[in-house]
Amino acid sequence: MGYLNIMLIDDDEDDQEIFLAALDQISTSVHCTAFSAAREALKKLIAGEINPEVIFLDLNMPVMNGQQFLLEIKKTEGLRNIPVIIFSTSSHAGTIELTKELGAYDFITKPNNFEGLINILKPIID
Amino acid sequence: MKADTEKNQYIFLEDGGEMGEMIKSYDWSTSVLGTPDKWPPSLCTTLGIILHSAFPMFLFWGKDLICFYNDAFRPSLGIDGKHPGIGKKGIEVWDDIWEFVGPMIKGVMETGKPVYFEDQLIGFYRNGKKEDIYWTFSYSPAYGDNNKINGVFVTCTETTGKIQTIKALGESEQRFRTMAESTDVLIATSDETSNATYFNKAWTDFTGRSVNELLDFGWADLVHEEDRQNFLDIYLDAFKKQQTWTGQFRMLNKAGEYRWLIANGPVRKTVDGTFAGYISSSTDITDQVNALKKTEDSEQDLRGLVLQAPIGICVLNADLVSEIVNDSFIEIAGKPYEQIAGKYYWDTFAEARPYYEDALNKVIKEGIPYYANEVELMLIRHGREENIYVTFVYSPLKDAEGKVKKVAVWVLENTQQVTSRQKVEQSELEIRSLVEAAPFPIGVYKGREMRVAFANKSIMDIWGKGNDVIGKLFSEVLPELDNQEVFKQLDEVYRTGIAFHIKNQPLDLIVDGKSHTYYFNYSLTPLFDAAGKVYGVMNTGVDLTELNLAKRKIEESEKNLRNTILQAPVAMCILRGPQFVVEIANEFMFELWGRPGNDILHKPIFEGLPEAKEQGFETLLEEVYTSGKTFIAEAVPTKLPRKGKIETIYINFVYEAYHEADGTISGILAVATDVTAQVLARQKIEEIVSERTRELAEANSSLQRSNAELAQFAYIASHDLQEPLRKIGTFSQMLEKSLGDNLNEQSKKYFSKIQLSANRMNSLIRDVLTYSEVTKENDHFENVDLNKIVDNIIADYDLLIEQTGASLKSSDLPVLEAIPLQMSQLFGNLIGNALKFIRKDEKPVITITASRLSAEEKKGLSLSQVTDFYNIQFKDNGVGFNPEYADKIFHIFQRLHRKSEFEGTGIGLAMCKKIALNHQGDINASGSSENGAVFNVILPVKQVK
Repeated sequence: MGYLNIMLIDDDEDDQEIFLAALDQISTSVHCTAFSAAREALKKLIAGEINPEVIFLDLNMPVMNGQQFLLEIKKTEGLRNIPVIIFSTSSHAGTIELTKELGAYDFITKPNNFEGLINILKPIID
Repeated sequence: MKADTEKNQYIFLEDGGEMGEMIKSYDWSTSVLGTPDKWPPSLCTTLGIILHSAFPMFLFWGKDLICFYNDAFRPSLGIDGKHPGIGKKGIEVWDDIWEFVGPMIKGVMETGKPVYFEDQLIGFYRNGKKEDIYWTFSYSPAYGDNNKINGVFVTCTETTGKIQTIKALGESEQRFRTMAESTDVLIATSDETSNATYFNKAWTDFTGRSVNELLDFGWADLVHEEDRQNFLDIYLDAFKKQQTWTGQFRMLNKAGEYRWLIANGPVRKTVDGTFAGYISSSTDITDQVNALKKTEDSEQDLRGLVLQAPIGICVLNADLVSEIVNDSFIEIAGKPYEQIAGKYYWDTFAEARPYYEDALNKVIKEGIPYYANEVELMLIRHGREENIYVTFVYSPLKDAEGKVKKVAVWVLENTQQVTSRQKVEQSELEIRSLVEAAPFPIGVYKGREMRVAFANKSIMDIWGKGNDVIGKLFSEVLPELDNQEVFKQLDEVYRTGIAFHIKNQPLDLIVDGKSHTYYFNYSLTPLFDAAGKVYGVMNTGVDLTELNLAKRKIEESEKNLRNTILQAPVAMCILRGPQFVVEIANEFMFELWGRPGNDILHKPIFEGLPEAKEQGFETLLEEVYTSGKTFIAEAVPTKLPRKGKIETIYINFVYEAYHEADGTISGILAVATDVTAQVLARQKIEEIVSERTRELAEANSSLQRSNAELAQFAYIASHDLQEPLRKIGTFSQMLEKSLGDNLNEQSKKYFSKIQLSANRMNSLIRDVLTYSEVTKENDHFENVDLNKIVDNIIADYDLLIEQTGASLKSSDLPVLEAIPLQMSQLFGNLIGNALKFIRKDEKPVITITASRLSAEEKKGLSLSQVTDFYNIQFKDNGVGFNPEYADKIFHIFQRLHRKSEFEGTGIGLAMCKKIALNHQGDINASGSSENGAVFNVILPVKQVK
């Protein structure tokens, strides 16, 4: 799909590190901004300080969780068209269905190995 | 509480008969009185009295004189008339007689003085027409709550029946009078005491005296002095012998001249044949007698006189051959002149010869005249046999020597006179038989001395003195009534001419020699003669003795009740009056009360047993006493004295209203049983049951808690444990990558083992999560086509099937009520197993079939008979399992194969079992290591709630 400007929202710093390492392996031209708090990311988006082409979103986060963030994005004119890909530990069918209904573009269950992650992200970035 | 209050307000309507129900169901919402709950107590009380009275009563209430009446009054309104009139205004109901009723009500309401009428004719519309109705009634003021007159209370009896009987008697007598009054013949009646009781108009016309003047021998002085003693002798002699009399005498008429009268007095008899006096008829025969006298004076003139005489005359010679015969005689004889004149008398009257030949011969022989008065005679007149009545005289005509030379036959036909009198007698007879047959007692006593002139069978039966009472004095017949007021009452009625009525009066009569008390309603009514003077008293009545006997029977049954109470095997008592005085109670009752009889008997119950106060019994007793409704209660805890201490005992009891003969409530009959032992036993059982229930509830809630904890654990295990596991996998891989070529073979193998372990743990966690989610309740059941489930599974295993070269066949599978996701998990697990557990170099062959279970099969598996079940069978050619473990394989984490041999977590079949159970079905397995495995999944078509 060739997204080069990516936003990642995940409170888990390990996962942020893994995600960024995987992106590094795939492409050197891709730019990714990682946020630990969804609320902060939303603020920046509304202020127009950041204009990502795609957003990777964790669900299970403190203060504002992934579902709330998704809801806000889809409510906001100008942001609603940015594709949001859920990036979560969960593989529960109910959770997947719910986020799709909220307007998620795709749902990725965090894989158990590094190679798996690279294989998943590759078609999205390239 | 509200319901109770309402009920109380309507108590005056309870058991108020048809009219009570009518008042209850009447729509009062539009009435000026409003609904009954708003009625003033005075109205409720008055209505209570009226509705529960067996005597006809009526009430006009309020400004509009709203009408109320009771069941006893209801029949007086007849059919299709004023009924139903309840709730209507007085003027609407009684519109046709308001002219009479209206002013009377107004008078009572203004003055407060009651009004009483007896046998008053007030005709009104009922039974489809205007009827003449007689009433005895009283209108009295009805007071409202403000102590002002707010209505008129009417009690009444319809006396139409009585009045009609009296009227019928009077009419019959009137008929007789009319007949007697319209004839020229002087008619009089006398009673069995020889006193004249009646003279007709002919008499008063003749004598110029009034009937009153003629009574008491007021006619005797008019009889010619020469004839008087003779006639009185005949009359009184006949009276003594009670025989018919005949007389001929002169009597002074109002013109002052003496006229010859021929008089007959046939005996008057009552229906049963007893002598009742005379009914006499007298005819003026002066002209005839004068004519006869003249012939005697001058035989010369005889023929001429005879011929012109208006009386039939025939003069016979000594050989009884007719010498002279006049026209009157010919007319009476009804035979032609030629057949009489010059003929032997007995040839002419052959039909009369057997009766009168001797008499005629005797006249010739002895020279004494022969009189025949009003004799019935059969004569052949104008060729026909006729019965006629004649009065005739064979009168001897003597020569100078006193020898009978001739006989004059004087004949007067009385047929018409006699038949008309017979008609009168007949009519009187009819009246008598009417009265005689009357089912109620009637007696007529004449004169101030009260001589019994008439008494019907009914009254004679009551008197019990036989049938020989007519003509006797009332005081002779019933001497035992002396000092019982009756004689005084009779005399008073005779003296004042005012009727006397009395109700349920006890009288002691001697019947068959024994004195008994009888009860009567009786009336003494004066009888007036034509001049308006009282001549006697009519006595009518009703014997109420049997009614009173019935009352006594009730008293007897009351006595029986008392015995029953004393001997009853349960506690019983009667509480009398509004104070609930203990009138009688048996030993069981005293035992129940916990006090000796002397403490309580004949005292108000709450006085004798103060311990029972204020436990609610007062209200219950009051309620039953006022409403009459039986109250039944079970296991009522009651505080009563037991061995000097107050204990709670439990009783079953019944309160029943004690009714008097007239329906009023005079007390309460109470029956009770001590059920304390039973109640305590029951309470003990209830305690045990409730303890058990509580324990069960606790066990249940602890089970729920542990279930919830388990679910929580499963969630943590599946979700939170995944996180670090994933990172172990990922970072170990990243580490391997960053080490790059520096890794030796041994290190690579270790990295691979870390990866494998992480993957395996991940699978385990996911399966545990799925397993724990099977019984979550938010999944809903819907119709699931199992064929589609199989199709989807095949699509999921597409790659594996292709790799293993597996073949999968499924025949027609049913549509079931199920949770779609769980069906997918079930089929996925079983098909996945069949693809997984296969010997090397062998291609999996999987067959899925479905068959409906028969009723017997369902029974054998203890399944519900309400719905159909399918056995869905999965058959494979895989490694199978030892039948020994057929049950074990469905336990979680139970593996039959080494991990390195076949992959798997050991959760799949446990989950299948859980899904099957969750669908009210089951799963079992059979199979050997040689022939592969067979799984039977039993599932219902419908979920039974």
